[in-house]
Amino acid sequence: MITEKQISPEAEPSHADAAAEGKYVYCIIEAAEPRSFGPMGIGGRGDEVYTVHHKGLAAVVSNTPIVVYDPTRENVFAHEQVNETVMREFTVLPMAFGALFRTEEDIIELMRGTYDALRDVLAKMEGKVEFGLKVNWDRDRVIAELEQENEEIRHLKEQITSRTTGSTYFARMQLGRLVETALTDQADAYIREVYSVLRDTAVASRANKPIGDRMIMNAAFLIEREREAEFDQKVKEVAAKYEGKLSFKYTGPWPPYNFVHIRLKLERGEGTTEAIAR
Amino acid sequence: MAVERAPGGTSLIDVLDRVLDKGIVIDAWVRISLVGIDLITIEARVVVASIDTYLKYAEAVGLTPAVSRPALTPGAAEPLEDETRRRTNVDVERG
Repeated sequence: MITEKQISPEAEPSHADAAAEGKYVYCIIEAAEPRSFGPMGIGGRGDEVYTVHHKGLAAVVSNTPIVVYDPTRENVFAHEQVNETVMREFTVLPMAFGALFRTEEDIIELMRGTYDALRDVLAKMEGKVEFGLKVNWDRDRVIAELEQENEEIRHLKEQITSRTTGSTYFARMQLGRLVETALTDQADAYIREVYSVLRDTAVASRANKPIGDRMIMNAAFLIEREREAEFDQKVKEVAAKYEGKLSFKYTGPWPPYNFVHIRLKLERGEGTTEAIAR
Repeated sequence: MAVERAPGGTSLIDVLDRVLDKGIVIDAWVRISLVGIDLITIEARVVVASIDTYLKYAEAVGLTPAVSRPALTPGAAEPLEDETRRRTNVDVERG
């Protein structure tokens, strides 16, 4: 958030306020004592990352010029690095990238207005971290296997290749549909099996949209820190089980981005807050 | 091949997948008032912006002049109205 005054020609006729200083906010934690996390603030100036407090809550912030941060590699890694550092000691509610405030008072006001929601979600996230699991397959190889193993597909394929007269158009269309359906079924079966292995160890999971056509599963799992090793073990188990068929990309621990869902709709004079912990 | 766990902040895609629109998200471009101070949120998370968004974004960082923007009396403007006016300005500039 940036003040209207800083960017509005009416309020500040000169552009000199490009040099105005604000606060970048990384996350909200529960902490009573002021803390410092090192000179790792966004913007590359080595700004100290510190805390701004309100009634047991704290925003983790650093000073920054008031500029709009583009989500460049450097900037998003700076944001993430701070969150991961803080996460080593605290349960964090991560802010989405790019939240700027003008003053500490504004941040305190935000915490005041959303206090109950933040407390509630913090309590739900207490001692939990997120892990990411992406599952890829080799689509062409699965298709080749289907052509071998699926009677209907194999039969139709033989018909098409052996036919010497007449059009194969409809047969090919039908084959395409059959393969597509079989692929979806196969992917669904894999996803169900992977989930069934991991479900009991996780507090919650969230399925995101797979990226690209090699990925069949793009999930996030919320795990209690004390069950981290157990979850690791389960992931290794399931990866070993599908070795050669599926490849797994396992990441974490992450701040619980996928499980903290707080949309702040801020309006003049009053803050309306909607907070759902999933 | 055993699967190895990679720390969170190593893949840009994985980080972007999370930080852009998840966690605590503050709605962009709504005028707010905190302790009587007028604030405006800024959409800083636009990667592939629509032209409309881009122009608003550009205006916010002072890349385009705010044409015929109404003078804002602190504490007087309606949020929705402000939003509408802003859009109108963008249209004027684009046209």
